Amino acid sequence: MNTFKAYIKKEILESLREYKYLIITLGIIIFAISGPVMVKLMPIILKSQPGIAISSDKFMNIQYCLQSFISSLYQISIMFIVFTVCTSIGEEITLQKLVFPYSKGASPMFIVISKFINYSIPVLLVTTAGIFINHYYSSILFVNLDVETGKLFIVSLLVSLYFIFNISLVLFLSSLIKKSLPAGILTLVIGYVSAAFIKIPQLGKFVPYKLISDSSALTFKETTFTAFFTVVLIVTFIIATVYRMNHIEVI
Amino acid sequence: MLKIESLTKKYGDFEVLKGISFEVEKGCIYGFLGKNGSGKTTTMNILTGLINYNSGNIFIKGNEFNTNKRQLLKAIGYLPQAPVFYGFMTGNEYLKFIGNLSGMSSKEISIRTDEVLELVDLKTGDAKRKLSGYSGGMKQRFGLAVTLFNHPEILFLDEPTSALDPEGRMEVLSLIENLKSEGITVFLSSHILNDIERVCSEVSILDQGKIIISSNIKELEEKYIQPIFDVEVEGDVSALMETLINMPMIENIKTSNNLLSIYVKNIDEAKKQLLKIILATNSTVLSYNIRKSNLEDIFMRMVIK
Repeated sequence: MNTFKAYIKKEILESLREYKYLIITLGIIIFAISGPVMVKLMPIILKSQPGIAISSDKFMNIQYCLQSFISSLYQISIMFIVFTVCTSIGEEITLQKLVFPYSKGASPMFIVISKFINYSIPVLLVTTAGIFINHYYSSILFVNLDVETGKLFIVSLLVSLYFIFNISLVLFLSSLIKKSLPAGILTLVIGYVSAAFIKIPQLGKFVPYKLISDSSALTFKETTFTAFFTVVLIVTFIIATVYRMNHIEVI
Repeated sequence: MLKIESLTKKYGDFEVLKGISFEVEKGCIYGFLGKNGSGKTTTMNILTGLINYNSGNIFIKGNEFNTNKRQLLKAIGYLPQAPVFYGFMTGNEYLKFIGNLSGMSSKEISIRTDEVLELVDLKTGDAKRKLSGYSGGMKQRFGLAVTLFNHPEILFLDEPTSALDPEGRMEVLSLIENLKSEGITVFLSSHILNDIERVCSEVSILDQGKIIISSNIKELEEKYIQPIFDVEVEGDVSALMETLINMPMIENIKTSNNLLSIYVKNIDEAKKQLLKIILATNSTVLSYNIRKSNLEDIFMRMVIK
């Protein structure tokens, strides 16, 4: 536990001093605020484009604002998270920053756990805040098709779980290939490519992207199974990262 | 305190360590010598748990290293050649981090911080600065403070004086000598052979992954150190060198400008014959000295053949 106490303090200090929390927060909250405004302005923007007609019933509502925000979270915000987290292990290995802690008997398991917790909790909080901020602005700008608070909480949890899955994946890949940027890119590629498998009937429920897809559609058929399976994947990646960090040569 | 048996380490097909064995007694300052790439740092990295090894046995304080690794590492301090810290932390914060890792209380950390900073001659103001702004010498001193922070019983120091100015080097050597009086075992690698000669009581010379000598430094002097004839001649030395190198009593000759350092196999015979032979070649001798060789000479003879 000494390692956990030391490393969680170190991770928090590092995230504050190197603006990691700020980057993740901006990467989520900007879209939460700008999304509803962009939807409201969309007819005006597209007015000048000949041949494009907007059905206001379909797009000018609170639910579409949420769907648009979830889409931004999946496509763009994930990059802010993955590229912030990917340096956490890869850089420490390549720059030999683990030499002193390892030579003092630090436990690799608690190093990995503290890193995972340090990013997962803020991502959960900021994603939830982002979804509620998005809903608040959507409610000011639109009145149709409101989304219940209970569903907003479910969506927050599911999207956060998808992000946390990506955190565990990027931690594992950066411990495996020891390079931050390739680990980050590979994580995003896996995330984007896996979305294609959701259409396969027998396979779809095993793909974590289903959490995003169901959140966007606000229909939760077999979502519990996918959430449970995603948790299993997260735990597996954490165990694999710990195993890797136990056997890695840090110098 | 530390016992190594037939330790091997391979990177692919390349065998860095070829079954090295040695023993370090408690409270001893043990010198580890070798050329670049001989395997010194690899040995240190293995003994501090940073890299794995292929075969062999390591015992620290009588316990098998692999099965008690994390526990045994708490008794170890390691100063790598180029220490790396978390640059966003200040010196004080990093020491607190190390203290927390070692399970020390806040009070213990505070007291020990003052002690180690004073020991390595870093000012309190320096410890409030971010580590990314430290100079090479400051990093080396701070690294030593980190290494000593949790009261280790065995210290591994990899080239601890290489980044220091002469004054800093002397201070660090004095500090290492003081550690001996505290009963701390020091395992020291250095290219600066004078440093090893000054502080170490035991020494091993590593070459191409094998230990070629492992001995008490006094025994080593008695066994291997032999006089060298330094002869300075006028003009070109190549003809003289050609004559001497083929003689049975000559072991090796090193030249620097017009100075020849002649290593002989039989000192008594050389005392009688060498000067006569040199004069017989019509060389003009400017100076002729018999010098007692040092550890550097032994190293040169054993390793750089």
